[in-house]
Amino acid sequence: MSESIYAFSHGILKRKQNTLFFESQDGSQRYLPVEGVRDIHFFGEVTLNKEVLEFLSQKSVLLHFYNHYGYYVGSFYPREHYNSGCLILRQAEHYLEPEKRLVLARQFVRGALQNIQAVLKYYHRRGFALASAIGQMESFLCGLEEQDTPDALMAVEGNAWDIYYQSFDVILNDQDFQMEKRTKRPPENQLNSLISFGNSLLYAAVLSEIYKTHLDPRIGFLHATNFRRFSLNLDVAEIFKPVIVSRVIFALVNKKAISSREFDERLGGLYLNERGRKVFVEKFEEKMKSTVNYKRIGRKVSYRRLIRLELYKIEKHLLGEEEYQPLLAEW
Amino acid sequence: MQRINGTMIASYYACKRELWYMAHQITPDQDNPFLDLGRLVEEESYQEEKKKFLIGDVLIDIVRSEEGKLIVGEIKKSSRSKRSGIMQLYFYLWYLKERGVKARGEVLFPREKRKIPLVLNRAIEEELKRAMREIELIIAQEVPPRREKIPLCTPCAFRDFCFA
Ligand code: SF4
Repeated sequence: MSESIYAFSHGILKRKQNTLFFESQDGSQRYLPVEGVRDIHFFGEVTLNKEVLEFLSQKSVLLHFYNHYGYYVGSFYPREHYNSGCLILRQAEHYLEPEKRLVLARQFVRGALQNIQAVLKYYHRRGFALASAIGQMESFLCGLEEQDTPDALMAVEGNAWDIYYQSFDVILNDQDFQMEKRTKRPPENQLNSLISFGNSLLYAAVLSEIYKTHLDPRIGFLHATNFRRFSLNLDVAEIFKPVIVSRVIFALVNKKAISSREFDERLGGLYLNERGRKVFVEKFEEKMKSTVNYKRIGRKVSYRRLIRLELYKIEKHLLGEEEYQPLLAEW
Repeated sequence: MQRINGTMIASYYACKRELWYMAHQITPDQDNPFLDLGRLVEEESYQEEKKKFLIGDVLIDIVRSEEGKLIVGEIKKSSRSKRSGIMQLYFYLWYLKERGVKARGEVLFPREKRKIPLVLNRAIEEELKRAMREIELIIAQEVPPRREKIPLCTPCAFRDFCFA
């Protein structure tokens, strides 16, 4: 089983004999058995050389980098090891033909909205006053067919996220974690900061799964492709934000696992400090490893695996086999 | 047109959908535990012979000669995929024959202590040719053949892909 490694301190990543070695600034040293590493997430500064990059390429290990504030900044994505000319062509075709692109873009928005609604309904059943938010999601969902450009879809989705995030105040009802409104750069309060951090982790995790498929991460459908950046992972992450990121946040806040001590103020924003990030990452990993029943496969699969299955469905859509239907988290 | 190889023959007899995927370079999930087992078995046994004898495919396991006759052997984990293994080996025998090399074959099931000797004949050659023509048609199709739930799906590395 491969693992994701999260490195919080500054340090040097080296190749030592036939494995990886991380020497952190505070003097601690750690061997990372390369065969069991899926990806490494760097939150601190890291120094590495070409030799280690070549080694990581050979072993198919991805590196994800986050800045000082915990925002995802980029990845080392080794040259793709699974390559299918046929699939790449079809992916490009679905991007270039407006009708085909729209079908997929709409499904990503639909997936996000449906899962937002599922979360709201879950809390509604437990007595939280969310009926109006649920109703609004319903009307957004009904209006999706009419949106005929990816930009229009993005706009609807933006409105849906706003309403959803405002419902956090009802669901959490915690004085320290108030949403009020979504602020990104900088996140103006603690809750906004948790959302931004969680989304960053998710973008990277989806990218790592894309690496294990034949899809090209640079070609997105909802998020416009600009070949210098990855965008397919942003598309797919939309579906999983309510399923994974929100639930991690609810768990942390409700169990009081995180408090204002885990945040620092910087440049007018509030950011998770190192301790806070560790707590968050731990819960996030726990979520990714936890399992749910997947009927069509006939066994339990982890949340991480659910992401992969979603990618497989997209591949099948591109191959013209089976129209893509986004995951609906009904549990 | 792609050249038909042994793996394609084996896939054709196992699952035509798998054949289409393989031919389109859509390789199975490398995280599948069954695949690991296969790789391990393959890596650990008969390394020497294998390196000396590669017919564009890793599944050729042993080659030896007996009274001046060449014997091409293939080791199978279980007889679950018996027919596809047999046809694959027949394909190698035919391939060799086309190149002027006469050989016999043996499919070995070490776990079941069983061995099936194979000798190429007219009927088999016709069958192989028919299969090769059909393989060409299948991989030329725009979309892969439909999924059917067959016993082979259980250990198949494409399973999550097919059923997701
Ligand atoms: S899972 Fe079943 S249908 Fe799919 S490729 Fe494997 S054997 Fe064929």
